[in-house]
Amino acid sequence: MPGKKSAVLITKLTLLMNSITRYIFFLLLIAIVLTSFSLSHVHKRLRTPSAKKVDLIIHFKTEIHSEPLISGKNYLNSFNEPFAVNKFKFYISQIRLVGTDKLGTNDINKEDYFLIDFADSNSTTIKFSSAPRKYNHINFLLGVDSIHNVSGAQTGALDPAKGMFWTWNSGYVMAKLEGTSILSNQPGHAITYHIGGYKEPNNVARNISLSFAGGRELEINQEKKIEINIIVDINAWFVSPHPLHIKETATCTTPGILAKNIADNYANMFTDVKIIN
Amino acid sequence: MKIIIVIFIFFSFSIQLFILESFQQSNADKNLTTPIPFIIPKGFPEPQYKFKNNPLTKEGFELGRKLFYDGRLSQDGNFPCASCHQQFAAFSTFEHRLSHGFNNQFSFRNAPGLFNVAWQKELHWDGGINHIEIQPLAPITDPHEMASNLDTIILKLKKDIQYKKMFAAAFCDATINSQRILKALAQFTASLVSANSKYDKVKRGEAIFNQYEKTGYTIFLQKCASCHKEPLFTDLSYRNTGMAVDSTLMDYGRMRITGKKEDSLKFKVPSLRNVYLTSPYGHDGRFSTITDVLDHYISGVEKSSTLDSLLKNGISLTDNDKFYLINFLGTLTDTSFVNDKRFSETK
Repeated sequence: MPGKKSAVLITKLTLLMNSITRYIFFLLLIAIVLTSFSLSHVHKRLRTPSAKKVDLIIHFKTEIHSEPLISGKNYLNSFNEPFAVNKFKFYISQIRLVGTDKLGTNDINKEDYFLIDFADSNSTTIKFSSAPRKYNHINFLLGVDSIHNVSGAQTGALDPAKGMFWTWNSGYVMAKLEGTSILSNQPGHAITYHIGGYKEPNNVARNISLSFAGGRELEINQEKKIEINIIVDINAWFVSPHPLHIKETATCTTPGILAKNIADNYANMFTDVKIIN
Repeated sequence: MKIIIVIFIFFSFSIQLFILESFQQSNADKNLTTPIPFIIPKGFPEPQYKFKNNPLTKEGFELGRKLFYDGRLSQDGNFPCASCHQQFAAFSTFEHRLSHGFNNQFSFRNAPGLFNVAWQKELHWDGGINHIEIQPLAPITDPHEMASNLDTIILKLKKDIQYKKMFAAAFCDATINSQRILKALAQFTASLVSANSKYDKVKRGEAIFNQYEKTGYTIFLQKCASCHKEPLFTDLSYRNTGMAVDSTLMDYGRMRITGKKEDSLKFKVPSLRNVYLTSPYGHDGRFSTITDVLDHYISGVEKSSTLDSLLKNGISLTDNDKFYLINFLGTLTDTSFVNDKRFSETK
């Protein structure tokens, strides 16, 4: 009897063990599925921001009278004044494309600042991802908005270590043109235009709106990258609406009316936007 | 049995979530900093600087303190912030008209005491600096002062393991950049609050003025308080107090910033707190003693088109008035502030 009893007990136990094993197995399976699900979810969440595809590349091409700018080379401005450039930088931000449909504008980069420095080829090309639509204008802010001039220590393109910040009269140099001209009466025949000022009426930040060459539309789709060349002509700094003669004015390093006038001029320096492909 | 299975599934799912959450949490926990409250003294207005985007922490403050006393922020290592801003002089330069800087040069102006800086909308005698965080850029890059630049400083600091640790403690990771240096310095300088002088104790009912001080306070309220407004003892405005322009400095004050003629010879009204410790006086330190300043107001005010309207006829003060005023001004010395170990160099 005891033998039979123990046999039954063993059978029962075996059955119980089997079912427990099954449960454990089942639970393990669920656990694995859930884990992989949640991990992939987390993974996806981490990946999402960088997953956006680059579909718009903007190149800034610096020229003087359609000739590519070469550092130190002599050029003539519209007043036949010879000058050479060794530094040329400016800030842009709030880049947006204006659509041809009812959807209006599309901010392709609202937050970041870009310091376009002709001496640094990495800085003259910027890459974006945009919504697949048709556009007929590209708009951006040339300069640094007033908020970023009064908000303390910044980083990235606005890092004061970039040398585009006035230390004794707070504010950003929004565009900088340096070089030489035999007509300059400054030491070393230097020409020095550091243009800044965020307070009205001498705020030098300018909203720029450019259409594409030949009235073309910019069509963004996910199939291929679109590249555009924005031509920047330095001669515009001197021409209009406020003629700037190097012989008379070779230096501007403070905010004020002169800086504002020069900004009115260089707001016209984006002379062409070519869609390359 | 089915119920047990459901419960098990539910349970295992919760565990999953818990594990995941705690995993994410532990990442955030790595960067734990110790917040420090910024206490606004009783009767003070809201500060201008509220540590927005730069929460005040023990780690940030200590880093700022170390930077403030570190000569490596200057070109030759001899001129930390503290060389011109000495604690025993309420963070001004003790008994120097102008401060010493790089290569045997003098600063352009008299170094102001650093206290209650968090209440200043603009900094410097001409208000040229619009934010406390970026103020250090001026002395750091000035060729007459610290004569350095941010890139060089960052390179120097990166060589110091101690700094790597301190930046990591204050800002989550060991990256050293200009923004972090400036924010840490702002945590230190904005924390320099002076509001525990005898005057403050009288206002709080913890002390009483003696007869001289009391009389001096009455005269102060009549003749000085419209510009040196309580409780900061400055209204932070820019005024021409009739100091003739120094022909060697040619300093026209606020006009340099605004470019406006009407701002010619205007300078920021300095606080009178700790005035016994901050001699000499004036934007170029031309007055050695408080008596010299009072004598200027009595008979030395030079007339010009931008002279402050309150000073058209100077300020009439008798010798007795001066005596009482000077007694009152002594109650503005905050000895607990100048002896506060939190603000001293770490040994």
